[in-house]
Parts: sequence; structure tokens; C-alpha cells
Amino acid sequence: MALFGYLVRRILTGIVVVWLVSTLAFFLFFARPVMTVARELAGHAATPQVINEVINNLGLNQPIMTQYWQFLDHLIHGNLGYSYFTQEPVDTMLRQDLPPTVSLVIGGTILWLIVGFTVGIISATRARSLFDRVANVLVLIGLSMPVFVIGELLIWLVFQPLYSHGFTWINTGYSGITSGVGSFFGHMLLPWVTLAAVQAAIYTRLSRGQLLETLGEDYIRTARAKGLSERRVVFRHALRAALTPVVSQLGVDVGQLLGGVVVVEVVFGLGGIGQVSVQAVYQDNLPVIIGFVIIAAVFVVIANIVVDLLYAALDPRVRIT
Amino acid sequence: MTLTNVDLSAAIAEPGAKTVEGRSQWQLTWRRLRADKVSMIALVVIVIMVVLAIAAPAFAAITGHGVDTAYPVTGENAVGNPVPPLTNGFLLGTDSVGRDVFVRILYGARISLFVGVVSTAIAAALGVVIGLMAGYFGGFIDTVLGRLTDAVLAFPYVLLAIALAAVFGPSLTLIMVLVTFFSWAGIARIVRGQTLSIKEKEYIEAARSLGAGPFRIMFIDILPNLLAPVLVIATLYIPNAIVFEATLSFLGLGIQPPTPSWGNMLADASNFYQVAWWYLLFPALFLLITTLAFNLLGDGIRDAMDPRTERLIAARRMRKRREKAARRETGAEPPGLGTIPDTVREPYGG
Amino acid sequence: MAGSTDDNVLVRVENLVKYFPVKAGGFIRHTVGQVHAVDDVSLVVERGKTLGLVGETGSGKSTLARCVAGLIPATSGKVIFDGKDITKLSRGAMRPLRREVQMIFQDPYSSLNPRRRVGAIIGDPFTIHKTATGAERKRKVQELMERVGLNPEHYNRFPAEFSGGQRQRIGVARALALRPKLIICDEPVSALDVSIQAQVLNLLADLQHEYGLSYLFIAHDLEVVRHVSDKVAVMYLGRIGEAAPADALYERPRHPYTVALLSAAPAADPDAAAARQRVILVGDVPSPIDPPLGCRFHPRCPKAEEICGRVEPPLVPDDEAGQPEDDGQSAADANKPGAAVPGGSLHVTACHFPVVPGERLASPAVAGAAGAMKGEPS
Repeated sequence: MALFGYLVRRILTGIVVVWLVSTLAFFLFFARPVMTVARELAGHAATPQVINEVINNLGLNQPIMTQYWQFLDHLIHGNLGYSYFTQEPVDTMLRQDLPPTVSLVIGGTILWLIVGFTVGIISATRARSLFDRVANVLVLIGLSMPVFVIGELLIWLVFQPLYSHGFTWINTGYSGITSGVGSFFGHMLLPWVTLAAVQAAIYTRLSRGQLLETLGEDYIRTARAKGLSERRVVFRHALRAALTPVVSQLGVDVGQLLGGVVVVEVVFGLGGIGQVSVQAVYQDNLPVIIGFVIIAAVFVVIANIVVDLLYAALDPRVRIT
Repeated sequence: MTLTNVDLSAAIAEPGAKTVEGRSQWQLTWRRLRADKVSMIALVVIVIMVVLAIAAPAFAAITGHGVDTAYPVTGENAVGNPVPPLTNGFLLGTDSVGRDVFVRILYGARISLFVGVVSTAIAAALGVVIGLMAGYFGGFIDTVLGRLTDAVLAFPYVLLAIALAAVFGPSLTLIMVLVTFFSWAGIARIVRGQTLSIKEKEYIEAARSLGAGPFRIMFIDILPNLLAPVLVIATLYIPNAIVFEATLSFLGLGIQPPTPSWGNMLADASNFYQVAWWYLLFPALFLLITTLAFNLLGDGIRDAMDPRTERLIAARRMRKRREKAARRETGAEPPGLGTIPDTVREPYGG
Repeated sequence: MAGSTDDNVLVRVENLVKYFPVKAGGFIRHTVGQVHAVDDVSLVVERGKTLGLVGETGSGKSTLARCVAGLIPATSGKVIFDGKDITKLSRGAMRPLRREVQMIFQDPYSSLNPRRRVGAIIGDPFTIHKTATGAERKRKVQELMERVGLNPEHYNRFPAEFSGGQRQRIGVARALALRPKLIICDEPVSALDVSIQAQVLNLLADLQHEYGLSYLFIAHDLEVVRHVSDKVAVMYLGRIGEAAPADALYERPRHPYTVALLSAAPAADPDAAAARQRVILVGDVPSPIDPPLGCRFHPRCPKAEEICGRVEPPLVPDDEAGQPEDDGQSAADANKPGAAVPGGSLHVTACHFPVVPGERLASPAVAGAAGAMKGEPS
């Protein structure tokens, strides 16, 4: 029951956050001279007629607060505006571009969590062994590398040689799961690895440190003294306590993750909402940018709620807040 | 009576009073750091990088290649592709339009190091002030500042980068603002934690009993004790800042071409890697080496400031070696998932 | 009026109470109990004299000291310094007062900021209260250093370069800088070696004579307290159990707790030690969150009776010791209003059954001897 109340509180907070972000975005973009706004909304190649059309259609000459209420009204009805540049409504665009992003996020997250925790746990239980040392070096390199460098290096060193030798399974760009599972994985493999690499490094170090510290605690010593096997000690007793703070760290990292997603999409040409938004900046395509900001905020809020729930399930003390 | 009234003032130079000049904490830290080979190498690398960056115009003059100048004759081969390293006086080859990669990398280093160090310095100053106030005053101020810090920490930076780049246009100033904005929160959080523990010390109570006001206590009594951890974390945040700038430039939201930045060079290079691998490799290498060096140095400084961990690690290593030698003699196998770890906090994983 | 208690009194504490709330609960933190750190304590410190405050850990003596110093706000009661009620003063109003009341702390290793130089630390009072700057401040600091027995050339050194005793001297110099009227010494020698203790105590005594300082001297070591104090008060669990002029307390202790404390202290004279009886108290000090009803000491007291668990004994001069003590105080003084307060001239005890001179207390650890828990006059 407490968990349900917690969930409700979190959702309410999330709605407030999304509303805040949308409001800020709105005023950031629209509280400027009408002509600037109109030109940006109409896009690069707009003619004066289009610009005027934009001003009229969107009521840019109205007082700012009236525009704001309209904006909110549209938002609640799922209308994110119209991209004049590409001649289609923004929400249609974003919906088309959602699948690559979602595939990337889910696959990448699974990969990084598995690798991060596994390597971290093994490193902690075999502290200072060869495995641990090698892992530490890799972690350090991973932490120092920007995501896009990893991506580019993978393309250059893995994709390119394989491709030029006829092994075309691994590819750039996106291939939806509906067009074939094999090709889907082939296209997503490198992006997943790229996205996961840096995060895995962070989580390896984190879980290793947490587990090492927990394993040094007295109650673990007691468990060992009782004669429990090492495996049991680690998995039944130490892990839960060690990993709770790591899970809480996840919440913070969701925001960072978004940056990685955008970069990976750009590097591999996946065409997800991240890449589209970045292009929109080049194109001065304001509606898409606004749409992305709001969608991203929703995504981050949802991810945070999921992580918070996970954390509350693991640590009962949290539920009271 | 167990105490006497004998005048012992002649014995003022008590045993334990130093006749040798004592060493300050910084001197001791430096000595330990000097002994750490990895950190010293990292420091040397950083110094070299800084020197190269500062001397970039000199290198431009030596090679005779300007930073923005394209050299279609010497810089491109017969089919108009870039030339590889060590041809026609191009140390690291040319880029997509025939510019000297080496010179551009050096100018890019200027941007990276400048943004990295200056943004982090400003962020550190901000973070220290906010962390100090949150930690010292506690209560409502702490709650407000704490929530603010958490919000900034969790905020997806790319969101803000995209939005601001769209509104204000990409520029160096924008990048510095962004990097600073996202760096101060982590520092503030650490400073707050340190302040909380320092606040309880007796010498802070002594300062209050003397009548010192809160700001005096924060900046004159607490701050000197914060400098050490702040140095460590600032050194570790510099590579973050550098990577941040590179990423934004890579996406086109940062430094715009033709001004070279490692990020935008790599963006361009990603289109030409098939014909000019050097254009991709060398900027990436410089980027990687720089960030790696700062990370290693930061870790090294942290270890140098905490000698206890060092000695314990060394002691454990000795004991492990002896145990291993003993086991080999008796032929016993190590059990289960590995040896029992100590109650020691590993600096690496910490 | 010459000899009037009020003129002589520098600090008067009236019914001081300090409770600390104990909070519990996850989100909505609420108070589940109170730590009775100081529970209705009254005392006076006379000008130019030293009041010693003795007690175990948890007796509340440090809390009391901090309330008098104005570092902690009192829950109720009054602190009157030099005629002024300072209990409810704001921080700003307290500021000028800080020049008159100073503190010396227990731990020489943590009472000085390790990252600052000694000259700056001692010079702090001058800087904070803007009484001296620049070269003049340096001169005054060096004078202070010399006065407390430190080498003024060590002005620029860090505390880590000094020994424990020297660090305490630094603390003394810092407290002395603005010529305060009262110095509260919170266990100033407890962390020092015995030989060093003597030096620091002598220094404090010299300074008292030279500058007319008053001390509130807190310690748990009885011999130290006897050496420096004019009057002594014994605290137990937030209340004062007994108070008297120093010699009177040590030669004729009346409260069983005092007797037990004294019996535990090593005595220099082996004959006196043999004559003295070792009283070993059973059990630990109870928690100040839930102090015992009635007399707080009764669960551990060898003389406890039924009334001790019900009624809290008042702090009064004993009938038997109703005469002024033989310590130079005149009869006139004994009848002054302040005389019956701890720190005054009378010997006051809070006990239903004070120990009579020559009485031997039963102690469970004394095998066989007097098996009953009641005291028997020998």
C-alpha cells in the first residue's frame, strides 16, 4: 500500500516537472521578437508568405500569455506543432523516429547493466587478481573516452573491415525489427556496445567499490564464520546491500544517458528522435526542437519513476518519502 | 596531592616540540605524489599538452601551415584526397580540405584545455560557495540548495544544449556556460558533505565561542580544510568538461568550423575515415590521452592525500604474496570465489 | 557593600535547564523524548575565583558550560553575567559579550584549525572584534605567546608542529587575548600527560593571579579539580549532588556519590589511602533520556531507601553542617542570600541520607563485610 502511495506521489511530481520544463521551453523560445520566432518556426527556406502564414496560423502577434495558454492546450491534446520545413506535424515525425531510439535505449541499458554488474561483481570477489587489474584498466579507458569516439572507432575498426570483406551483417543505419530480426540485431549491435561502454565502465567501478565495502562489513564476516559458502555469502547477503546505492545512482544517470543516446544516433545514423532534433538545430527547425524537449522530459521522468520504484522495492525505508 | 607546585617553566621546550622545520600537508602530499610513477607520467603528459597548445602558433610558423588554410596542392593527392602523415611536410597528414591536421589539433587543444580548465575552475568556485552554505547553514537553505543541486545533477545536459543552441546559436561562450552549469553541482555535493563533517570539529566551536560570524567561519576556518578534496574532484572534473565540449562540438552544437576543436574535427573525420584514417585517429588519440592523463592524475592526487589507504594496500599485497608463497609450498588450493577481501576501501573502486 | 555576595559574583546561573530533543521517524520527524542534559542547575562563580565542576561523562557538565558560554541556548532558566541577563540574547547582542567570556577546550588536537598558522589562530579574537590589526596585532600575539610560555618566533608554524601541552597553551593564549573576565575550561588537561598537566595548571593559576580571571573549571579528575578550585560542585545526571568550598568537599564529603568518586581517586599518602574506604558503584550511569525518579543516584546508591526513589532531595546546607565551614568565610557571609548556592560559601548537599563523617558505606564488591545495603555508622 505504501508503495502505491509512493508511486502516485512520484507520478504527480513527474507531471509537475514536465509542465515546468514545457513552460520554460515555451518562454525560452517564444518570448522573443515575433519575426525571429516566425522565421525559426517556418524554417530555413521559408518565403515571406510562409512566414506570414506562420504568424497568422499560430497567432504569434497575440500577447504572450494567450499564446502560452494555447500552447498548453495543444500540448494536453497531443498536438506538438507543425514542422514547416518538412511539411508534416511534429508528432507524426517524432512517432516515426521513436522506434530506433527506444530500441537503442532498451538494448543498450540491458547490455550495460549486465556487463557492468557482472564485471563489477567478479572484480570485487577477485580483488587484485589479473582479471581485476585488466578490468580496472579497461574501465579507466572507458571512462576517459567520449561516447562518439568509441562509436567512431568501432565503425572504423570493426564495421569497415568487416563490411569491406563482405561481412555485411553488421551495418550502420537502422533496420526495424519488422524487417527481420537478424538484420535488426546486425544494425543495433555496434550502437548498443557504444552506448553501453561508458556506462558499463561507470557501473563496474561503482558496483565493485560498493561490493568490496559491503564484503568488509561485520555481518558478512559473521555469515562466513557460520560456514556459508562464499557464493552464498555474496549472492544472498552482500549483493542486496551493495547494489542499492548503485540503483539509486541509476536515477541520476538517466539524464546523462540521453546525451549518449543522441550521440550514438548521430554516429551510426540511426535516425532516432535524438538525431532528428540535432538536425533540427542546424535547420533552425524550432517546432521539432520543442517537441523533442518535451518528449525527452517525459521520457526522463518516466525512467526516473521506474528507477525510484525499483529502489523503493529494494529499500523499504525510502517509501515514506 | 599528586600534583606539585614546582615551576617547570624551564622545561618549556617539551619533548616532541620540533626543532626541525615541520612539513606542511601540501609538501607531504607532493612527496607521495612524486613517488607515484603513473601520476608523474600523467602530469608530464598534461604539461606537454599545455605547452603544445600554447605553442600552437609557433608550430604553425615552423611547418609553414596556417590553421585555417587549405593546401590543395601539397595537401591533396592526385584524386583530391587528403595525404597521409609525413608527406609533403604534413606531420600528421591533412584533413578533408587539405589543412594541416597537426596544426589544427594543436589549436583544438587550446580550446579543449581552455574550456576544460576554466569552466571547471569557475564551477569549482560556484560549487564551493553553494556547498559551504548548504552544509554550514543546514535547515531550509540546505533543503533548497540540495534540491537545486539534485535537479541539476539529474538534468539531461543534451536537452539544454540543444535548446540553447537553437535559441542563441552555438558559440564558445555557450559551451562554457553549459559546461560550468553542469559541473558545479557534483562539486557542491562533495563540498557539502565535507562541510558537514568539518562543522562538528572543536575548532569550529572555538571560533563560534570567539564570536566569529558564519561567513568568517565558512571561508576562513572551513574552506582551508576543503581545498584538498576540492582539488581532487576538480582535477577529475576537467576531463569531463573536455569530453563535454568535444561531444557538443561533434554534434555541431559547439565550436563551429572552420575553428578547429577536437570534437568538430572528429565529426568531419567520420565522413572520411575510409580515405583518411589519420584524420580520425589522431584527434581521437589526443583527446583520449588528455582525458586519461587528467583522470590518472586526479586518482593519484587522491591517493597521495590519503596515505593510510596506501600503506594498507601495500601491507595487504605483502601479506597476499606471503600467503601465496606458503600455499604453493603446501599445495593447497584457494577456496571458492577468491580470497577474503579486507575491510579496506580500495582507492580505485572508491 | 564590602563582602556582599552580589558584588563578588561574576556569573549567576539560576535554575538552568537544557533538554535536547530525540527525534525519530522517517519523513515526518517528531520528537519522541528528551535528553535531560542539564536539569535545574543553579550556581555562582565569584570574581577572581575558580569554581570546579566535576562529574562523569553524561553528567551534563559540558552542556552546562556551553550554556553559560552562550554557545547553546538554554531550554529554561537564566544565566546572569556581570549583572546582565544573557540567556536570551541574540547572536549579535552576544558578540560584545564574547570578549568577556572565553573557553578553553579539551582536545588540543582538534581545538585548533590544522590548516591555519598559530599566529593567525591566536590573533583571531583581535581580528573578529577589530581591536588590533597588522603589525600591532602580531606584536600582541607574540606577547601572548611569550606569556603562556611559547616561543614567539613560532608565530608562523602550524599546530601539527607543536606538542599537546604546547597546543593547549595556544588555546590559552587565544582565550586570553581580549582579557576576558571569565574563562570556561572544559577539561583542559584531560588529554595531556600528567607531567604536562602540572605546567598548564600552573600557567592557569598564574594567569588568574595576574589578570584577576575567574574560572569555571570542568573536569572528571578530582585531584586536578582540588588543586585549582576554590569551590567545587559535583554533578550527576544533569543535577548538582553536592557543592562546597574545595577543602570541605574533599575532607568531609556528604553525598554518597562524592564519597564513591573520592574513593576511586588514587591518593598520594598510602596511610590515608588505607584509611579511606573503596566504594565501588554497581552498574552504569543511567541514560539521561529517562532519568530515575526521585534522587537520580538512588539505583546505584549504597544508602538508598524507599523515599529516595520517590522524592528528589533538595540541595540544602545540612543541618549537621549548618555552621559555616572552617575555610575563612565569616558567619556573615554564610547568611548572605547567595551562600547556599553551589559556588557560594556553604556546603550544600542533595541527599536524604548524607554521609556522616566516619561512616563506612556498604559496597557489594567488599566481600562479606557489611552485606546489607544500608550504611552503618562505625
